Amino acid sequence: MYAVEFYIFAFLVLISAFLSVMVKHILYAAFCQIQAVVAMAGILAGLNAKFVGFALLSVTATSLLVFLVFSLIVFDFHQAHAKLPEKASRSSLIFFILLGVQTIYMFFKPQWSIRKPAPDFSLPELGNILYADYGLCVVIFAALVLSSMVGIAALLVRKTDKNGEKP
Amino acid sequence: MIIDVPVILTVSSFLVFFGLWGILRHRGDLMRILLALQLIFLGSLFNFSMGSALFSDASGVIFSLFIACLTGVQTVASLALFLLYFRKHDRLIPDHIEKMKG
Repeated sequence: MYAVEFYIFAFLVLISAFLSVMVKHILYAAFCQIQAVVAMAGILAGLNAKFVGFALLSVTATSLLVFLVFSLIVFDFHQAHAKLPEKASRSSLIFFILLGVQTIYMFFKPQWSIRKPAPDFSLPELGNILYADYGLCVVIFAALVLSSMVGIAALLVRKTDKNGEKP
Repeated sequence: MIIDVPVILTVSSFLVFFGLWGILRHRGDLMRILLALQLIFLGSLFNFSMGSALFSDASGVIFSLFIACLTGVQTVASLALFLLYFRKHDRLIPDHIEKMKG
């Protein structure tokens, strides 16, 4: 029954989002966020939009990795050494098993339907629409992203004087 | 068994609600606010994707692709700004962020 699988994934998304708000340690919050994103990618894969699902996964994995590095190492070093609960290994094991099961399921599961057979959201179809109908949007979005990245990089460059020392 | 529109709207509303709740609950921690913002983006992405499948129109999937990219950019840009603030003040306290000058 296709809708049951949707409900399971939606339930996983909601529970993970709830836990990501509720847990105290930022590491666990990021883990719950990863779980929510993986479940969301499962829903997208079920809608026959696997490319968007994998794009979401890769973008979120990168951004959350950077987020964890910054939050645990750069900004709050003490929290990285804070004592984790004793049941951390057990809950981590359950978490990774759940992630693995969802990932395997996404690979082998065909699409499920909402009211009728899901339309084709494959990569050629999306690329065709993206560059035929939304070409201007893509260009504007790319320019915005590029300008924001350049602006951020320019802001982060440390100014030094002639001797190479920071002011 | 059919996935109804109210179910879709409920799930996306709950995601946005959890995001807003996270912002209010962790308003003293900028990093947690960033995580909560990602939840709001996830809710909108879910809404676009499900609407796209519901109406058999790929535009929603395209927009969810944009949202996924925007989430990553937002995270990285925010972290860079936080780093800028952290270099200046050696800590991240949102109450003092209005003192930051360009």
